[in-house]
Amino acid sequence: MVRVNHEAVEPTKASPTPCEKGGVPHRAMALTSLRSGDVGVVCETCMEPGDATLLRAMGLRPSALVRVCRVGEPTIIEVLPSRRGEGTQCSRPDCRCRIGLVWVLAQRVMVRVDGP
Amino acid sequence: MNYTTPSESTERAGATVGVRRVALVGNPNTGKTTLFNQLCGLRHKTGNFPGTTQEARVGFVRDTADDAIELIDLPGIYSLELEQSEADIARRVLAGTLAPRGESASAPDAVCVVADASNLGRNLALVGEAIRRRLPTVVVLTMVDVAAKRGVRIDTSGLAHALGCDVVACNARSGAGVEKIAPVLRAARVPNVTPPGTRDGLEDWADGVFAACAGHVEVEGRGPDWTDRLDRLFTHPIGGLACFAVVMFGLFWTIFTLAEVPMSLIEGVFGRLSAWVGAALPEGFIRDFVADGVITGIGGVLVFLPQICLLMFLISILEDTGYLARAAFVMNRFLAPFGLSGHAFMPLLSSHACAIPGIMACRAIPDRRERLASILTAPFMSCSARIPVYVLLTGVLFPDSPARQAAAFAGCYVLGIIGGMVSALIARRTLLRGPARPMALELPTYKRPSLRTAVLTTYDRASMFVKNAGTNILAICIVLWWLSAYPKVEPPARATELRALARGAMPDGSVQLNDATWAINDLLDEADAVEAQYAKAHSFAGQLGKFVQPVFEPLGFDWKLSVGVLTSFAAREVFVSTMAVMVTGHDDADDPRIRAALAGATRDDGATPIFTPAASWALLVYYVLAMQCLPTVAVTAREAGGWKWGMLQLGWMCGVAYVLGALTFRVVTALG
Repeated sequence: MVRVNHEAVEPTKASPTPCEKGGVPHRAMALTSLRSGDVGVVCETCMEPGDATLLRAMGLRPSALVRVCRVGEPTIIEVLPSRRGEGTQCSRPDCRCRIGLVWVLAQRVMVRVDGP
Repeated sequence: MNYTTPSESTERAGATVGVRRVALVGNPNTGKTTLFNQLCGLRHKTGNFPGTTQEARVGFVRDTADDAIELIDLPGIYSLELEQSEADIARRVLAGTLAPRGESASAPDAVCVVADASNLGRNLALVGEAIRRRLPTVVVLTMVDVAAKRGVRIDTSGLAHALGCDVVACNARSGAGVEKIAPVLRAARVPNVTPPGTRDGLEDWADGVFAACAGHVEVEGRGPDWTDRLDRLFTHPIGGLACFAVVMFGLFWTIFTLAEVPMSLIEGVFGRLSAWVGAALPEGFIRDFVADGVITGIGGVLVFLPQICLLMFLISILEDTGYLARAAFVMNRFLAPFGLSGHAFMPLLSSHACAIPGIMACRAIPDRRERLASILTAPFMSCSARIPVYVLLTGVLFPDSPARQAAAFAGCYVLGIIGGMVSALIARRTLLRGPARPMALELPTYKRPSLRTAVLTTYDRASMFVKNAGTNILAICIVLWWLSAYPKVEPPARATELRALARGAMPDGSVQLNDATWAINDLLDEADAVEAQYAKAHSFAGQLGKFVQPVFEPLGFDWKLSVGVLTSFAAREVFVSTMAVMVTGHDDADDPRIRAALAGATRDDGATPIFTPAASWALLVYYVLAMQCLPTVAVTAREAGGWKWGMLQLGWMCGVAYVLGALTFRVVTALG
């Protein structure tokens, strides 16, 4: 298993990175920990590089804003557009795509949820 | 991620190039195939890329201009840089090192990137990758209607400026705007921008272009999210299975119901044609060859065409609605332990009707190893051609117990599925070893299916089948007919005697023989039966059966059963009619009297039944597992990309069937 960290943008105070580099990601949790309807920001994917690359090409990339539509087998998410550092506030046009993931893949997608 | 760095051919930049060959590139589910169908209609052919199992479609754009545009429909990909066979094919075609079979390999004159306007942000990353190839490029925006419903407005002029190439917006489904594409393709130019070469850079670039060219307007009256609700239903562990069962039942009920009429029609037409030719031509080899070999052979193959067309049409419709992607997840949990994914379910299910369309449906499986494993194991599923054999043998085994017959019948299906799954597991652990690709699928939006796409897909598949039927399958059928019909032998003495009796019949049309009165027709029928029995026994197939009988000795088969096994390589159901002819001289195996005669028939020693319990069980196991259908082998060879796969399938299935059949014979014999 290879841990692939896609984060490529240097952290700045004004626009915090989704997850801290090195060590435990800040408030990151597995995608499968979210509930249906939750929105999160993708931090990283901990899986085979081939799978990670495919997911990234499908739109599940670092900083991608995702809405969980269904948790379980399969886990279904909707990838919403977001620019790096925008957090979960999305003011972009309603361009989106829906991706289904088997549970083993979904639990390796780490996301951050903003909020209290 | 490392990117291929193309040489900067600045001298081509901005130049207008006369377009001849255009590669069509795009993400999956962007409407690329629908657009191809709109542009080319029936003016296309479907084949493979050499050395691959990947489908290649090449067509000519329909318009009135003198210089034709040849369109190559490349597989749907998310990125040109992925380590996948589809992406590799796209890379090689764009580099000019690969072309569809029958085409010369050279770099395309232009690239047409199909981008989904309702998900443009992600699609632009692929556009950027294509632009970096420094080929004349055109971007076609599809699904603008879906984007508009979501409030997305794309400034196509701004987008063209940002990409440095022409952009055409169209609705591939309705065809609106499609007519603008051909002129733009002819004037395609190398974009005058160069997107970044790293993945991060490319994504940022795509974000920037998207932000600059896409606007948003509020859409009123947005109702409840039906996509969420339907997704939850269709992928629910129980509800999803129930929906799937209903859909599949409907699918196969439709196929079996609707296909019956055209199948009977085809059988009738070819039967009459064969009879007409038989009556028109003088007796001899040519007549037999044309009437019984060619015409019957073609009819025997084309009879499957209605089932294939209906299956392909309905699958295309289901796929277009967006349902199949959800169904793949439902079945994935059952197939994953055997190294297959949910994609394999539909082909395997289809194989219960006939393995040939099932194998052809394997094209929808994206992973090459999974695709090959599915092709190799699909014929294990009990097809409809096995049913007559199952009916005969379960009837012989349990003559007075319909319940046991039914249980044995169902057991055959279960055994076939187990055989297929175990074989898939073995294949995935040995020959097709490799990581199983965990399923991650884009779930397309639910939409009304396109009839045009379904019809063209059906046409494609049907043409491919007919082409195959006209070559390999027909050749196999003719060879097997010849083996069964030749050499011609003199009628046996008993037949001659019966005919002589018929000729000397009483004026009232009856014959007095051994205190019984026989009608002339009965005598002639009896003479025909004796002759057919004798001819079959002395045919090449009969001689071959006697020759190979020692091979089948461990399964308890006598020479007649061996002949039945050999002739059924043309099609499994031939076994029943062959046995009927061998034993009774009549080929109407549906007649209960003939079935009874078959069940009670004895071997050459006059005492041992042909169908002993042990031999019947062994035969049943053998027919469940063996590859007794050479047309299927021919289709496997074509779909898998070589005869080695067909031969492997034949050898493996027959080997497994032989070993387990022999084991069954031993066990049943030991148990008494």
